[in-house]
Amino acid sequence: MKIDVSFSVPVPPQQAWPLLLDVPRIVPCLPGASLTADLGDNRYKGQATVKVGPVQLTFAGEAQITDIDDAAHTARVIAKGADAKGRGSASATADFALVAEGEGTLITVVTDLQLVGAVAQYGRAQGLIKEIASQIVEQFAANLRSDILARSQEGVSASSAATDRPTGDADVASMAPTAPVAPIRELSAFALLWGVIKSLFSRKNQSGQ
Amino acid sequence: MKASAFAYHDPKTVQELNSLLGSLDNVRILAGGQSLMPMLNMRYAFPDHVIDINHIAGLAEVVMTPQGLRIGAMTRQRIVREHPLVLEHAPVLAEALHWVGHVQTRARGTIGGSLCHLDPAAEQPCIAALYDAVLHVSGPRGPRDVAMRDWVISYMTPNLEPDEALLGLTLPVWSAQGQSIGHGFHEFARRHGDYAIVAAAALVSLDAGGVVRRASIALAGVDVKPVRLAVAEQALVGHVLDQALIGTVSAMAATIEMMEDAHITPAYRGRLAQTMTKRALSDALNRATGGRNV
Repeated sequence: MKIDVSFSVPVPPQQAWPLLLDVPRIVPCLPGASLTADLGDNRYKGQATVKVGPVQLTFAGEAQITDIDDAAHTARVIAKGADAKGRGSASATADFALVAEGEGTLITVVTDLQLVGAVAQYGRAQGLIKEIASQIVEQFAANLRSDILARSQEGVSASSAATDRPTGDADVASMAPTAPVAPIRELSAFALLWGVIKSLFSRKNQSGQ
Repeated sequence: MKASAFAYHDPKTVQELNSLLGSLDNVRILAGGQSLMPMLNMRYAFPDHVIDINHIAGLAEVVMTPQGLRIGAMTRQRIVREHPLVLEHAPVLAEALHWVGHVQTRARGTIGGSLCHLDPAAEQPCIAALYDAVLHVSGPRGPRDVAMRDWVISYMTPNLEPDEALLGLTLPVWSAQGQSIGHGFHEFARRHGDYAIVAAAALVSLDAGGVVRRASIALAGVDVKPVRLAVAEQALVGHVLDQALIGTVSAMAATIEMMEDAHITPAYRGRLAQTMTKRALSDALNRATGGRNV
């Protein structure tokens, strides 16, 4: 299944590029994801939890960044994870590209996702999976933007803001405006989250269309 | 197939429930079980914990309050369907319940369960949207009310924190002096008792001259949450309700953005939405005018 998403950050590509390659720093921005080991050579072990309605899935596996082109600002991530309950596995190949957009950067991600085993039953709802992916990416972008803002404003003290980033499950329900988040994120995240929720009900915004 | 292993919990009070919800991960609440148990048995969902709330007292009352008709979350659908207060003050809810599952599932299924499960085609959330219902949530941080328009966060996901639960809802029932209220509900499914493809609910309040003073139209099955046809409602208010107006307004139902799935095209959904809206409004007209307009 092909999933197209894109998001923006308010810094130019030369700044955004090393940021996105700094995996231990950006993984906490991804809702439901955590790093368990840095295997070196751009290979990492991690975990990702996604919850939609009654279904909660946890995948544990590996990701590798390859084909890093520092001039063109493109890279590929190959990730594979097995469901913690033995219900199957997911594998994804994601191609990233950064382009300048005004004073910031537009990051586009084209992902090829495969589900194998019992978890493949959820793959039938392709439209739904794409929307959930868009939501997760929007949440990731919002967290990343807040993190960039925090670091540029607070300098050294930004390291404390980084530790109380929400690292809970990528629970779609927790993206409600009432979900508790760290204060610096609350104002900007509220507006972004509400936009995400509204865009969920606007088919025109569906990625790839 | 049988469900995969889970731990079973049986709280006796709401406080116990909230504290369990706050301390456990990957939890589902068991109310009537008519949607949950098939999902568990098919291994579509596989929570680590199931919290059975059938033994908590006080969650199944139906009372009239100044704010409207208050229905407890654990009230069985069969009770709601036959309750004198529902038949008198919100008969469209009783009519919608005719389409919910089968008599056997309605004996166990609860209105709260349906409102938390949030199948996109479900009838009870549709009626809650029709009335702009208020949902009553409880949690360790205290009770809070959620308007139905804010209730559906996303696909099958209600506006509940992980440690909160739905206690009930209040329907602000319609009443107006000198006006006559009519209701209608129609649904299309391939077999009776199947999940609806599209359902439409309508409420109209007509004055003595047959002019629409208030209208509400809600569709289920066209999006992840029930949709109110605000444009159609505005087109009705201030006009005499007749079949011609119903025809015009129903056509608006086909123009909203429809969700798409593997079985049904948006175009077909649109045609169904139009037809169900027309039938629901026709019934509402008949009921409001005592059957004089056919």
